[in-house]
Amino acid sequence: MRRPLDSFHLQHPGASGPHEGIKTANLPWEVYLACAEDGRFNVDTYRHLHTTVDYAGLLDILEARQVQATWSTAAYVNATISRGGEG
Amino acid sequence: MGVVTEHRKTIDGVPYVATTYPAMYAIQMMGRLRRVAPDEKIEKIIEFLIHKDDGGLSEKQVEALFGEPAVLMSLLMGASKEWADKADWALPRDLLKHTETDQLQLGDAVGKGSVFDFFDEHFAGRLGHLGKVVLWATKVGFGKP
Repeated sequence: MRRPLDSFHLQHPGASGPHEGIKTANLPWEVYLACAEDGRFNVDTYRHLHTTVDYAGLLDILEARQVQATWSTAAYVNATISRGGEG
Repeated sequence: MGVVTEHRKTIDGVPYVATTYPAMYAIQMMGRLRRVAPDEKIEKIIEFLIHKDDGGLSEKQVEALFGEPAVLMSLLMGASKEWADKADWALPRDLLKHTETDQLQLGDAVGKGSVFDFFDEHFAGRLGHLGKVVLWATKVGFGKP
Protein backbone atom coordinates (compact mmCIF):
# COMPACT_ATOMS: atom_id res chain seq x y z
CA MET A 1 0.00 0.00 0.00
CA ARG A 2 1.31 3.45 -0.86
CA ARG A 3 1.83 5.97 1.91
CA PRO A 4 0.17 9.30 1.15
CA LEU A 5 2.39 12.30 0.61
CA ASP A 6 0.90 15.15 2.66
CA SER A 7 1.40 17.83 0.05
CA PHE A 8 0.76 15.59 -2.93
CA HIS A 9 -1.91 16.97 -5.20
CA LEU A 10 -2.49 17.14 -8.92
CA GLN A 11 -2.88 20.85 -9.46
CA HIS A 12 -2.59 22.81 -12.65
CA PRO A 13 0.56 25.01 -12.37
CA GLY A 14 -1.45 28.12 -13.22
CA ALA A 15 -4.42 27.32 -11.02
CA SER A 16 -3.45 29.95 -8.43
CA GLY A 17 -3.71 32.87 -10.90
CA PRO A 18 -6.25 34.24 -13.38
CA HIS A 19 -4.56 32.69 -16.44
CA GLU A 20 -4.59 28.93 -16.70
CA GLY A 21 -3.91 28.06 -20.33
CA ILE A 22 -5.66 25.13 -21.94
CA LYS A 23 -6.17 21.80 -20.21
CA THR A 24 -5.45 18.40 -21.71
CA ALA A 25 -8.46 17.00 -23.57
CA ASN A 26 -7.31 13.50 -24.50
CA LEU A 27 -4.17 12.91 -22.47
CA PRO A 28 -4.74 11.83 -18.84
CA TRP A 29 -3.62 14.68 -16.61
CA GLU A 30 -1.31 12.50 -14.49
CA VAL A 31 0.44 11.31 -17.67
CA TYR A 32 0.99 14.88 -18.79
CA LEU A 33 2.46 15.80 -15.37
CA ALA A 34 4.79 12.80 -15.49
CA CYS A 35 6.05 13.64 -18.99
CA ALA A 36 6.29 17.44 -18.82
CA GLU A 37 9.82 18.66 -18.09
CA ASP A 38 10.82 22.33 -18.06
CA GLY A 39 8.33 23.27 -20.73
CA ARG A 40 9.04 20.22 -22.86
CA PHE A 41 7.27 16.90 -23.25
CA ASN A 42 9.48 13.87 -22.60
CA VAL A 43 8.53 11.34 -25.27
CA ASP A 44 10.76 8.65 -23.72
CA THR A 45 8.78 8.82 -20.47
CA TYR A 46 5.56 8.72 -22.49
CA ARG A 47 6.78 5.62 -24.32
CA HIS A 48 7.76 3.90 -21.07
CA LEU A 49 4.29 4.54 -19.63
CA HIS A 50 2.97 2.44 -22.53
CA THR A 51 5.43 -0.39 -22.08
CA THR A 52 7.54 -0.78 -18.94
CA VAL A 53 6.22 1.51 -16.19
CA ASP A 54 3.07 0.38 -14.37
CA TYR A 55 0.53 2.54 -12.55
CA ALA A 56 2.47 2.42 -9.26
CA GLY A 57 5.51 3.60 -11.20
CA LEU A 58 3.52 6.51 -12.59
CA LEU A 59 2.55 7.51 -9.05
CA ASP A 60 6.22 7.23 -8.04
CA ILE A 61 7.19 9.60 -10.86
CA LEU A 62 4.53 12.10 -9.80
CA GLU A 63 5.64 11.89 -6.16
CA ALA A 64 9.28 12.40 -7.12
CA ARG A 65 8.35 15.45 -9.18
CA GLN A 66 6.31 16.89 -6.34
CA VAL A 67 9.17 16.39 -3.88
CA GLN A 68 11.71 17.85 -6.31
CA ALA A 69 9.49 20.91 -6.80
CA THR A 70 9.41 21.54 -3.03
CA TRP A 71 13.20 21.31 -2.91
CA SER A 72 13.54 23.86 -5.70
CA THR A 73 11.10 26.17 -3.93
CA ALA A 74 12.90 25.72 -0.61
CA ALA A 75 16.28 26.47 -2.21
CA TYR A 76 14.86 29.64 -3.84
CA VAL A 77 13.31 30.84 -0.57
CA ASN A 78 16.49 30.05 1.38
CA ALA A 79 18.57 32.01 -1.13
CA THR A 80 16.16 34.94 -0.86
CA ILE A 81 16.43 34.89 2.95
CA SER A 82 20.24 34.71 2.86
CA ARG A 83 20.25 37.82 0.65
CA GLY A 84 18.28 39.64 3.34
CA GLY A 85 14.87 39.29 1.76
CA GLU A 86 11.75 37.88 3.32
CA GLY A 87 11.14 34.13 2.89
CA MET B 1 6.73 -2.28 -7.78
CA GLY B 2 6.79 0.48 -10.36
CA VAL B 3 7.79 -1.45 -13.45
CA VAL B 4 5.83 -4.08 -15.33
CA THR B 5 6.41 -7.42 -13.58
CA GLU B 6 5.31 -11.00 -14.21
CA HIS B 7 3.18 -13.08 -11.83
CA ARG B 8 2.07 -16.72 -11.93
CA LYS B 9 -0.90 -18.60 -10.55
CA THR B 10 -2.55 -21.94 -11.21
CA ILE B 11 -6.35 -21.61 -11.38
CA ASP B 12 -8.51 -24.74 -11.63
CA GLY B 13 -5.39 -26.65 -12.69
CA VAL B 14 -4.45 -24.21 -15.47
CA PRO B 15 -1.16 -22.32 -15.00
CA TYR B 16 -1.40 -18.63 -15.91
CA VAL B 17 1.21 -15.90 -16.31
CA ALA B 18 0.09 -12.27 -16.14
CA THR B 19 1.94 -8.97 -15.93
CA THR B 20 1.02 -5.71 -14.29
CA TYR B 21 -0.62 -3.35 -16.80
CA PRO B 22 1.58 -0.61 -18.26
CA ALA B 23 0.43 2.72 -16.76
CA MET B 24 -1.39 3.98 -19.87
CA TYR B 25 -3.30 0.71 -20.18
CA ALA B 26 -4.14 0.74 -16.46
CA ILE B 27 -5.62 4.24 -16.81
CA GLN B 28 -7.76 3.10 -19.75
CA MET B 29 -8.99 0.04 -17.85
CA MET B 30 -9.75 2.13 -14.74
CA GLY B 31 -12.02 4.37 -16.77
CA ARG B 32 -13.86 1.42 -18.30
CA LEU B 33 -14.23 -0.41 -14.99
CA ARG B 34 -15.65 2.73 -13.37
CA ARG B 35 -18.29 2.96 -16.10
CA VAL B 36 -19.49 -0.55 -15.18
CA ALA B 37 -20.64 -0.80 -11.55
CA PRO B 38 -24.44 -1.07 -11.92
CA ASP B 39 -24.79 -1.88 -8.24
CA GLU B 40 -23.08 -1.50 -4.91
CA LYS B 41 -21.46 -4.95 -4.92
CA ILE B 42 -19.69 -4.42 -8.22
CA GLU B 43 -18.71 -0.93 -7.14
CA LYS B 44 -16.98 -2.48 -4.10
CA ILE B 45 -15.13 -5.02 -6.23
CA ILE B 46 -13.96 -2.35 -8.63
CA GLU B 47 -12.83 -0.08 -5.82
CA PHE B 48 -10.88 -3.00 -4.37
CA LEU B 49 -9.24 -3.64 -7.73
CA ILE B 50 -8.27 -0.13 -8.67
CA HIS B 51 -8.03 1.73 -5.39
CA LYS B 52 -4.58 2.36 -3.99
CA ASP B 53 -5.54 0.86 -0.61
CA ASP B 54 -7.88 -2.04 0.17
CA GLY B 55 -11.06 0.03 0.38
CA GLY B 56 -12.11 -1.74 3.56
CA LEU B 57 -12.64 -5.16 1.95
CA SER B 58 -10.56 -8.27 2.43
CA GLU B 59 -9.52 -10.37 -0.56
CA LYS B 60 -11.80 -13.21 0.60
CA GLN B 61 -14.77 -10.83 0.80
CA VAL B 62 -14.10 -9.65 -2.74
CA GLU B 63 -13.78 -13.20 -4.05
CA ALA B 64 -17.05 -14.15 -2.33
CA LEU B 65 -18.79 -11.16 -3.93
CA PHE B 66 -17.25 -11.96 -7.31
CA GLY B 67 -18.47 -15.55 -7.03
CA GLU B 68 -22.15 -14.54 -6.85
CA PRO B 69 -23.66 -15.47 -10.25
CA ALA B 70 -25.48 -12.16 -10.78
CA VAL B 71 -22.43 -10.10 -9.86
CA LEU B 72 -20.14 -12.24 -12.00
CA MET B 73 -22.43 -11.99 -15.02
CA SER B 74 -22.80 -8.22 -14.73
CA LEU B 75 -19.09 -7.63 -14.44
CA LEU B 76 -18.13 -10.08 -17.18
CA MET B 77 -20.69 -8.58 -19.52
CA GLY B 78 -19.39 -5.09 -18.84
CA ALA B 79 -22.89 -3.82 -18.13
CA SER B 80 -22.93 -0.04 -18.13
CA LYS B 81 -24.48 1.81 -15.22
CA GLU B 82 -25.75 4.44 -17.64
CA TRP B 83 -27.31 2.58 -20.54
CA ALA B 84 -27.81 -1.15 -20.87
CA ASP B 85 -27.32 -0.92 -24.64
CA LYS B 86 -23.86 0.55 -24.11
CA ALA B 87 -22.49 -2.53 -22.36
CA ASP B 88 -18.74 -2.88 -22.68
CA TRP B 89 -18.72 -6.38 -24.14
CA ALA B 90 -14.97 -6.37 -24.78
CA LEU B 91 -14.02 -5.46 -21.21
CA PRO B 92 -13.37 -9.00 -19.81
CA ARG B 93 -11.21 -9.88 -22.80
CA ASP B 94 -9.29 -6.61 -22.63
CA LEU B 95 -8.62 -7.13 -18.91
CA LEU B 96 -6.78 -10.32 -19.99
CA LYS B 97 -4.61 -8.63 -22.61
CA HIS B 98 -1.43 -9.36 -20.61
CA THR B 99 -2.31 -12.93 -19.57
CA GLU B 100 -0.91 -16.13 -21.08
CA THR B 101 -0.95 -19.87 -20.44
CA ASP B 102 0.74 -22.94 -21.89
CA GLN B 103 -2.53 -24.85 -21.56
CA LEU B 104 -4.80 -23.00 -23.95
CA GLN B 105 -7.93 -25.03 -24.66
CA LEU B 106 -8.39 -24.91 -28.45
CA GLY B 107 -11.19 -27.38 -29.02
CA ASP B 108 -9.62 -30.82 -28.61
CA ALA B 109 -6.09 -29.41 -28.82
CA VAL B 110 -3.96 -27.73 -26.17
CA GLY B 111 -1.80 -24.75 -27.13
CA LYS B 112 0.37 -22.05 -25.68
CA GLY B 113 -0.12 -18.32 -25.89
CA SER B 114 -2.28 -15.33 -25.04
CA VAL B 115 -5.75 -15.92 -23.61
CA PHE B 116 -6.60 -12.53 -25.14
CA ASP B 117 -5.95 -13.91 -28.62
CA PHE B 118 -7.84 -17.16 -28.02
CA PHE B 119 -10.44 -15.83 -25.59
CA ASP B 120 -13.54 -17.45 -27.14
CA GLU B 121 -11.99 -20.88 -27.63
CA HIS B 122 -10.20 -21.06 -24.28
CA PHE B 123 -13.12 -19.98 -22.11
CA ALA B 124 -15.94 -21.64 -24.07
CA GLY B 125 -18.35 -23.17 -21.55
CA ARG B 126 -16.21 -22.16 -18.57
CA LEU B 127 -17.76 -18.96 -17.28
CA GLY B 128 -16.87 -19.64 -13.64
CA HIS B 129 -13.25 -20.22 -14.60
CA LEU B 130 -13.27 -17.04 -16.69
CA GLY B 131 -14.47 -15.10 -13.65
CA LYS B 132 -11.61 -16.39 -11.50
CA VAL B 133 -9.01 -15.63 -14.16
CA VAL B 134 -10.38 -12.14 -14.83
CA LEU B 135 -10.37 -11.33 -11.11
CA TRP B 136 -6.78 -12.52 -10.63
CA ALA B 137 -5.42 -10.97 -13.84
CA THR B 138 -7.07 -7.65 -13.03
CA LYS B 139 -5.62 -7.66 -9.52
CA VAL B 140 -2.19 -8.39 -11.00
CA GLY B 141 -2.75 -5.73 -13.66
CA PHE B 142 -3.32 -3.05 -11.04
CA GLY B 143 -0.40 -4.26 -8.91
CA LYS B 144 -2.32 -6.27 -6.31
CA PRO B 145 -1.29 -9.90 -6.99
